[in-house]
Amino acid sequence: MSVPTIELQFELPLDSFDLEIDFEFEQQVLGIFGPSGSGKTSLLEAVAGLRRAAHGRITCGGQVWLDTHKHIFRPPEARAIGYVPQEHLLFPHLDVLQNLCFGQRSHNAELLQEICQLLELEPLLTRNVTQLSGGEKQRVALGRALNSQPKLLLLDEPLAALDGTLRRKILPFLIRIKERFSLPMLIISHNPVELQALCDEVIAIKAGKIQRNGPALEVLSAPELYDEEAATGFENILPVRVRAQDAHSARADYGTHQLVIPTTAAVIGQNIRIGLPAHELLIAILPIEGLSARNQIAATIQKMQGDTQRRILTVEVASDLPQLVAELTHEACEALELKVGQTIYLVFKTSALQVYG
Amino acid sequence: MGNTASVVTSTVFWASLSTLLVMLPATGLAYLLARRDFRGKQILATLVSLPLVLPPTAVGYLLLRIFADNGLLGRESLGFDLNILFTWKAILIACAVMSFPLVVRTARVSFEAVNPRLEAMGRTLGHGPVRCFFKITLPLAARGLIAAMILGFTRAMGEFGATVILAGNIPGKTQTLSSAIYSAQQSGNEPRANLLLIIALAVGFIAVFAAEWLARPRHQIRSTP
Repeated sequence: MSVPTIELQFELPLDSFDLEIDFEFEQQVLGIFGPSGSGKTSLLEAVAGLRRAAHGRITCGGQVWLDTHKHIFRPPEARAIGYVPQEHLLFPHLDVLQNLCFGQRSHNAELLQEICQLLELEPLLTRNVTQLSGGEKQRVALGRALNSQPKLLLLDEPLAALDGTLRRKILPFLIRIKERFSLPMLIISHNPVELQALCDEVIAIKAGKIQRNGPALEVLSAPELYDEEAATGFENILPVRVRAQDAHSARADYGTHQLVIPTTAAVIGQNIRIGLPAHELLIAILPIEGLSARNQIAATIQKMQGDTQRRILTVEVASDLPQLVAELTHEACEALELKVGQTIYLVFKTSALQVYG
Repeated sequence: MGNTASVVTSTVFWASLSTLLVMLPATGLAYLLARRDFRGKQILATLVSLPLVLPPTAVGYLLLRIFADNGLLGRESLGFDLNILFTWKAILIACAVMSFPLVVRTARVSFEAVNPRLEAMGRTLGHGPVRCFFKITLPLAARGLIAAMILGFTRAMGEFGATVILAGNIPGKTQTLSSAIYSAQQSGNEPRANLLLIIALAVGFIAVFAAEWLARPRHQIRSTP
């Protein structure tokens, strides 16, 4: 699966600072992370062609969208983008089906059917968009963007306007989209779960400049960015496979370990994602017996960052599993005499876990 | 009686025709004022609104000067006669000029009420600015535009000052509902004045009611196929 290269090399004057982006991206999903007012939405709109003041160069798959030196400006309608803004912007005078088919290139019946299935839109088709719930609007906006057969998908905080339950419902849709359509995507998000579950690379933006870029976990565990994440703090994502469903919990394989997780609608054998907040992780230097917490796994400390207030640990459970982030006080770190390379035990309760599809 | 009916039908006809004449340029100008920033925008907006605040007779007199033999659009400067003064064409011009600002203002507000980001959204979905206007902006502003049209129509129906100066008050030729009421009252023909008043009330009521009905808050905006 080859994904077109996206070249972003432009400046855009904003009210209180200039957005200055110089970045090339060759993977499928790029996450854009940063505090509100840092220029994230402006970046997306410049890529969409909605900011005429942007100057510099923007290309997608070799096609030049903006090159101010050569006086090239490709208007938004010629860029083949699927834009899903934060406020959805569904057309209020059209019903759901008409919204889905609004795009200039939205005439592929098979594609429409597939999108409706993927996003579970069939029951909504004749509904009026003003009467949809937040999650439904989000899915329609996603469907409308996909149905226009875009070359690039731009998502502005796809989960921000949704509450916890809806978030957990929409995330699997986004993952399905990523897996089904080999489309490059730019996703703005504050949410560590979303960024880790979806993005191949993350850039952190502050006051219009790229502060840091790299894999989601690496960027998000950087001490200067750690506090800017969603109010719930950093959340680890554990890929697991459901092994058995018990009365009040379920068991799942996590690498060679077995975890006790909350009950889930997933079937046995299904791969799902489990969220584990960094502050819910307890750390022991020896295996502990006779403990109420049901999960205990060994890991090696890879990195220790942070200040005298709080330490951020990056740990590895196994080389084929994504690394995890744990958070603890400086004092606890000192008392346990933790060092890079040391083996520790991660302890967490089943109820601390969040099941994502 | 026959004379009354013809006054009413011709007034309604002239008012309708002048409204139709006004709608296209007024809508275009309203869109421009609502969506674009350009040099002299404030001056243009002020000039357009001027007939609304001037005495209608002043506007009529200005038009008379323009269309007089030695005026800007008169026989001497054009080399031929447009033959406008004291004809039905003069009524159309007077009504159009007087209702134009009202239509522009109402239409401008209804365009401004459409979120421009919806148009941007349409662009990202592959439609050029013109298609976005017809597929998004126009349908969303439609109710306001119809209300603007009705307001323009009622203004034209009631137009008196400018019309009397430009077209006169010639029974059977350029007499309108308002000038007919004036003549009937002046000549002491009370029954005729009363009848014309009732007709004016009925037409006005229907028009304003229609405008109110269109502007009512709707919980459910149904799509038009």
